[in-house]
Amino acid sequence: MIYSFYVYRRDGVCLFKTTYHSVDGDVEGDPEAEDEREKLVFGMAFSLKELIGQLSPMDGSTGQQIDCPLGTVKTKSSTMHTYETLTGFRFIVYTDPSINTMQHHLQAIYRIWVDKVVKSPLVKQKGGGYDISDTEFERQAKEYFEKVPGFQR
Amino acid sequence: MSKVPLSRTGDIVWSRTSKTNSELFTLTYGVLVAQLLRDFEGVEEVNRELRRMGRNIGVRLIDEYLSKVSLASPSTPPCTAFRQTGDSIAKVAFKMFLGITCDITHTTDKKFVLTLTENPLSTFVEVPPSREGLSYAEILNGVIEGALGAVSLRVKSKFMKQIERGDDVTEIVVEMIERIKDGVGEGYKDE
Amino acid sequence: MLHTSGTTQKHPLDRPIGKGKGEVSLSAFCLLYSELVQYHQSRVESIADLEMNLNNSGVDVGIRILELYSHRENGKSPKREIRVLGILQFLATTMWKSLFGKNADSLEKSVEGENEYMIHEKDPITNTFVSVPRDMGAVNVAAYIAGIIRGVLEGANFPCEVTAHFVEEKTVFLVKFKKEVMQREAAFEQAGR
Repeated sequence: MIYSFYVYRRDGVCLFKTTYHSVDGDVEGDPEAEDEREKLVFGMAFSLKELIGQLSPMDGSTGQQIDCPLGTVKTKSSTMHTYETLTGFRFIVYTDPSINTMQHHLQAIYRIWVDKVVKSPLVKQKGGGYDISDTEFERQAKEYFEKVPGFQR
Repeated sequence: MSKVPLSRTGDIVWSRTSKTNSELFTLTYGVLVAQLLRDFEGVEEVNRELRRMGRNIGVRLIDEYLSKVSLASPSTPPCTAFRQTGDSIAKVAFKMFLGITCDITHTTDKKFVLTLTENPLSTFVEVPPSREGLSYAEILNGVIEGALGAVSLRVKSKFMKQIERGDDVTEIVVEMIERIKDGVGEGYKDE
Repeated sequence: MLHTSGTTQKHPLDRPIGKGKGEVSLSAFCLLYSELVQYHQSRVESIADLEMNLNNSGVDVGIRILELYSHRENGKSPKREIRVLGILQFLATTMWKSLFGKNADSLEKSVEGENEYMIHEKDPITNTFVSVPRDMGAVNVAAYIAGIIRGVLEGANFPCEVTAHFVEEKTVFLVKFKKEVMQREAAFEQAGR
């Protein structure tokens, strides 16, 4: 089951979030707690990537750490799937642990994002990000996720 | 991993791209420049505004580039060296968006020159003497800076030659200033 | 007058004007157009003003397009459209096809007014990637194309107003000719031309 979906830009500002299925103890409807969660989700993705980066092997030819984007973080109760673009957008979905991979789905979502948000003349850019009060992306993303096996459970 | 030449990737992406009449594009750009010349006092301000718009476009365009190129050639690795970045701009990006390719000369590891024999932004244009100093296609510099900035490369892009000013070709010099370090911004830290 | 000291420089007038077959990517156009929209948007208070500014920008383009076409057509059959239907058909077929790669979906006479015509277009190029944010209401960025249409018509001496409207998710360009055009039209009818 897909629980929730977030889009962040490079510096951690959340550009879009939505909940498809709420779970017990969910914070939906409580803006403060929602904000807090939004930051926790990014914080986890960001810090994990940093940690992994420091632990990863060096590339012999460049002497730099090999860039290793974060993919999936799995626990007993849920799985966090992340996809980070070179431009610094992070697409993150929370699902139940039965869904193994969402990478190619998140890439498809990235393409919807490009068409419906990045290229839309009416979506204002706000300090390097996008001001999403955009209904078309929301609709198409939902439509897409609904077709993913396991969306409902 | 089979290595696809970049110009081939450019052709593949171009063949799959939805296209439109270049005159509509040229004239639309002309209207934009004319509007700015009406709204701003000096050509310097117009140049600055065009560059700013270019950066906006670059920031958007790079996402389209990345999402399309990974489909056309999954084996294309992300550019690790600045040289590769330059080659990708010359052979893939220009083809993919403007339908033209340009020549590239690497002057150093951190600097390259793009040479265009035609510029779809300025097909009908000659900059009149009264507007001397107007860098008509300045938006291109902004696009390059914006696009590379979005993938953590701070560069400076400027014209050496411009067809609109009577030169035989347009030359763009792109120089890398630094790699931008990844980091969280104010919006996130501010808790 | 040319400045700079280029060697094999060519004056734009010496460069071939081209057949108008050149192409750029649709995205390049849309990204550029997006900047034009945002530029106007940042300088106006209302959606009506935004549409008006886009319309005015389009007029400048329309006038130039008409010139380019007349220049190219002249070699073959020097003909100037003088009747309303003739020029509208030129717009909805020849010009539309070359600018947008297809004919307009349809051209109709309005039942509302003697001087009103409608050009239907399901997917105007300006709206390709547009998704309208909640706070923008019913803005139609095809106002620019409405302007282009007006530019072509006025350049050919058919003063008019052209507006873009959403009708059942399609765009309709409503052309309202000025009184003098209709009077001239009536005179042609009488003269049996």
